[in-house]
Amino acid sequence: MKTHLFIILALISTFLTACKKENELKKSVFIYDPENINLPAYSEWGYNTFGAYYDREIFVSNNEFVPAKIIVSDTSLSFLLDGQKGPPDYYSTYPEMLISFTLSGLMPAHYADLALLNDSIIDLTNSACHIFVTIDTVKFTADILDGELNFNKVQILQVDKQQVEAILSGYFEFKAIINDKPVTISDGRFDVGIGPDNFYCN
Amino acid sequence: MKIKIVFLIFFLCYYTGFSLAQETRLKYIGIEGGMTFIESEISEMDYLRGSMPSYYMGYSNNSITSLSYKSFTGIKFEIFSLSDRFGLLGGIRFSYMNSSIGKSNYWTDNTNYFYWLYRKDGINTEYLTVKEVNQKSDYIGIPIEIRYFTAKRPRLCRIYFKLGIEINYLLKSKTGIVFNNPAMNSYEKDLIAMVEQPEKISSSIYGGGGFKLGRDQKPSVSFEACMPYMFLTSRSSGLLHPLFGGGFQLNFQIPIKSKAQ
Repeated sequence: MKTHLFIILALISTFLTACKKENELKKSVFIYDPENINLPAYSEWGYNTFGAYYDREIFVSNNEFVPAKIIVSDTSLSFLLDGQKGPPDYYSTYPEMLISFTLSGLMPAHYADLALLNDSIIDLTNSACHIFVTIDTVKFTADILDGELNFNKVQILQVDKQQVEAILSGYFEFKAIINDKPVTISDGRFDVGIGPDNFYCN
Repeated sequence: MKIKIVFLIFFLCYYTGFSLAQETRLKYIGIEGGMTFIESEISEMDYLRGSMPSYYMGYSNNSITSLSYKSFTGIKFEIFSLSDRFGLLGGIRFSYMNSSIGKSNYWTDNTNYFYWLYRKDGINTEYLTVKEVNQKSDYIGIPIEIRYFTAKRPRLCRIYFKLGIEINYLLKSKTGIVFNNPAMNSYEKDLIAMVEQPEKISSSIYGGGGFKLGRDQKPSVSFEACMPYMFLTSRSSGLLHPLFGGGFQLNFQIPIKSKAQ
């Protein structure tokens, strides 16, 4: 009897130890936009969500993939939005979709340096900008016809007086030729946190 | 407007049931006590970071929840109609209302705190992590109640139904904040200043039913369930918007013997 009790207690304590409390700021808080169906409402809280219309389809963040990453190389900065091609659902059953905005000439050394993007609108037709779209592991280069990426607000966030991340909030939309087909990405919005875990610098 | 209508009903009941005859009626004085549990929604607080299920059918254990209850005690006088079926009660009541918001962590991978936007200055934004916000308010009020007994006296146990209204005046209110990081306690005053305070005057209407236990014209005890309990004022608690509630009330009464009796 004592042995059984000991085993049960050991299992419970192992389970509790394994379930480490997640950092709440890394989770996604998806608040639906009442006007743009299936897209998250625009916010500036670092809710870790994004969404846009991909023609008539939905490109939206999900719980499976880290929604945003910043990769800085020697010559450029890439802003990646990783989600799914399909409406939001709890257990994502749609193909993975990723859009990468590569902006030449921007090389922040630290996530806090992303503040330089605050209130900036980037013309995506500029030759310094490149967009790559990956749908279900197939990567396409987008030939940009028109569009812009708007970092409406960048906030350097402190929690309990400790700096933890940069919150990037803004809009994007563009027209492009992708896989020999004209595509319109419209009503794009993002509200994502970039911290030590998703800021990559060479 | 609602208050006026309720008062009119009470006024008419009083005149039709209690004032037309000149004969002696039964009177009681007693003490009361009870509790009401209140279902509320959290006030609009645009400084709280959302913390809700991420997607449709997401777990709801991750959201900010509220708790509100009221306990009260008082002294009431009761006068019966000539038929002894109706009793009109009035008195004075001291109420203590406790409202709080917090975050449940039933599942071990959830945190038990939420984020409070403390400051936004250019590109710098500051959140403080908070475990709980509570608001404790003391009121003094006047309850007016009518109860209808289903059976005539004398009976050892009499069942009754009740309709009541109470008007309360806020004596004092205190808001407290429990920080996740105790080192942030020095910011409590700043955060409290952002919280809405309760209204000075609040009122509510309630119904209920119960039974009165005691021999005829002797001390008696009444136990009743109060449901529904509806607020006529929306900001009775500043932290929460109370919607409805339910609870119980206990009364101990002794008869007042008049000379005619």
